[in-house]
Amino acid sequence: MNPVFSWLRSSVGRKQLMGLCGIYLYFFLFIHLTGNLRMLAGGESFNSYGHLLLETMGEIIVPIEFSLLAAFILHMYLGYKLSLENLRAKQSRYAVKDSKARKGFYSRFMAISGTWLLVFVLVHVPHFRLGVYTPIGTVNYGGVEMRDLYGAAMHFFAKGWFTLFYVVSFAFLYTHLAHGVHSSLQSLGINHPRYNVALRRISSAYAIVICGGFAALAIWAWFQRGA
Amino acid sequence: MSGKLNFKLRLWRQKDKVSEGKFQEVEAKNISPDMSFLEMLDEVNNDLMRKGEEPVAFESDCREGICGTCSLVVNGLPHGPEKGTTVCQLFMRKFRDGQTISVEPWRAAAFPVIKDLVTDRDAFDQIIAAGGFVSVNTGGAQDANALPVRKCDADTAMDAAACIGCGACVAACPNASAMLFTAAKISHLGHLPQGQPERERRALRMVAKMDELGFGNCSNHYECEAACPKEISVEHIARMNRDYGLSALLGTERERGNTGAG
Repeated sequence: MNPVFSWLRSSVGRKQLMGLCGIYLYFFLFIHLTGNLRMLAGGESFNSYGHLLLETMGEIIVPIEFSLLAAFILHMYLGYKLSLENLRAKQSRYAVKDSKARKGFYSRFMAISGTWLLVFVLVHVPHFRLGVYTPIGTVNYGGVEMRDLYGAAMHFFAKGWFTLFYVVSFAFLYTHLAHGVHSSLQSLGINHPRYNVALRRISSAYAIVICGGFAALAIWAWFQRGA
Repeated sequence: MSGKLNFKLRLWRQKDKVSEGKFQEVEAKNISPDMSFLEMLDEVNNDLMRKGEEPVAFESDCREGICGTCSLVVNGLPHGPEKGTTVCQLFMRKFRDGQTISVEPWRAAAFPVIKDLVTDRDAFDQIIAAGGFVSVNTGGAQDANALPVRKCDADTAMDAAACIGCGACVAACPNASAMLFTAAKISHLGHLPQGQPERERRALRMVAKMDELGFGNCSNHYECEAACPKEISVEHIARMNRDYGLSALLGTERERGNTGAG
């Protein structure tokens, strides 16, 4: 068999591929957050950035979007497959359960937090990227017509329930990243006593910055309602 | 004599592989605090036999923590509440007088229960047979110093070789994954010069066998490391992941065509 296929069929290989997809997605989140921070600079700055990405750099950005979609679907598929196999491997459960590891519950929560994030993406991407649920208007800056994503976001986050849904989703994202960032490194074999503490701290700091950043922006947008 | 302890035991009783099991409540009376958990069970079995009942089946051999035969889940913890201890080295003074103690077998699809608290751990032997060895040509004994091994490598290999193959890692894992066991064996041989020629094939074959036998996938909960009576580190799992990933994607030495002395 082709060695790449046998790698993909093995438990270790699939974990490694799932981790690589996860790493790709969490680097994307960082880029996404830096872009969103332009909202703080106002509508023109944010909308022009979106225009730059989609119109001026479209040939690069759209293929990247498809690669992100592919990574997301693959990550999800491998995650669910792994979870189902793990249920099968543990046919009978202990009547009394205890643990010596005393770790957080995040690691046991990945399928649930992942499912929540799937729902989130099904709401978020069609809404803000494709304008499926509500059409995104246009705005004109100095003769250039562009999508008014800023207006759409402000309109969306003015509703408390939507903001709450986003903030809860970022909390789920935090639990997913808090285990996932560190776990993907272990699956890829990156574990060294000299760097383990640093890697673990960087992993949690990264999860806090990403989720805190997105949540803060959603709450900030909610406070702008009526302004 | 004062200081004797009494316990309420809930013992898992299961007639055979196919029967449904259930708990049997048994009193353990007049137990010396200096008895090991298995000696306490011996006493309970004596009582059961005196009453004409069938004794509870459990496995043990060396009873000094080095053979890996004993395999009981005590109050939800493989080998009981002590860290770095097999259940045969767990003493009854660690329990409160009058305490209820539940005793269950390892639970994993790859380790079916044969009877009561005894499971079939043949799957581990199959993983070893798939690659957990070094091939040595027979002949005169080699000089002891012919193969120098760095102290740090010898130490790490020994840390991994401390694995007694009891299966507590699988029993503790929420996914019943055998990664820590397999990793310990791969790492033990992989750190020594004798293990190098077969290092890549070993990783590929042992992981493939482990998958085939129906163990779960590792999702890095690290329950295995915490439950291991020999306190083997999950660093060995990372090392196996590296060895496996590189061997699978880059091929073994044979495929790369650089076998032989040229």
